[in-house]
Amino acid sequence: MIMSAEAVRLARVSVWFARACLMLAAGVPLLVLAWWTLADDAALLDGADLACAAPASPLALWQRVAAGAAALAPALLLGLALVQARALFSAFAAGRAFTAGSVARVRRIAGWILAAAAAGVLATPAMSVALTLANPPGQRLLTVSLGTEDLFALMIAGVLWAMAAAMAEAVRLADDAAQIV
Amino acid sequence: MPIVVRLDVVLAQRKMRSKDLAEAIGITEANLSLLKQGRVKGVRFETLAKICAVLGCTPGDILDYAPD
Repeated sequence: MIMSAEAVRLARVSVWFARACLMLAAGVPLLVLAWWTLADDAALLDGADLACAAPASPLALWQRVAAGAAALAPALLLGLALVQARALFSAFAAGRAFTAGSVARVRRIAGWILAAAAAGVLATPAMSVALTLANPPGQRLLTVSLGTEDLFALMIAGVLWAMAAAMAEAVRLADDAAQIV
Repeated sequence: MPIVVRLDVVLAQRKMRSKDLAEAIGITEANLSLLKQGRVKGVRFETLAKICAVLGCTPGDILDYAPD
């Protein structure tokens, strides 16, 4: 089948997007892990907006592990979305944009982004508890936060889901057109 | 399907192979085979015109209507 100029452009760009997704899928969780392993206590508390509840004694290992695990969860879920995105861009690069497989991948990306957004919302209270639980009574915090980035992620997930539905119709039309010689 | 494709008859009369016709009109042999069997959803006018030009026939020679 002869590809249009637009399809050729998409295929060319998709090669680079696939590589970028792979790098981010591995890189983002590793960066989070590195942060929670190497950063000092002050930086960790500041990063979690808990500088006001800085404990007198250093953070225990279990606190770093617990808070780090809570922070890592959304990063890992985003990594899974990026793995699916990589597979999607690889299919685009091979000229297989309108297939049932691509539709399924877009739906999975939407699902993983939604899961990452939910995990991100839950991570904030989990981190605040883990980092301040060893503080004296009256200095322990439970922080709940819902920011524009969480709402943005929810919006992106919704838009991708709708796009998958539109793509499914496009796949049906493409199959129909393929049967016209 | 009331549309009957008689392309194989015309090919035999012209002593032409499917492979050669497919190459001449720019479609795959697989698609030409599906067309001969009537297992396609449609034929583009462009494809029909090319078939008629190569085989020296009219669309009526290739397509027939036989209601069920």
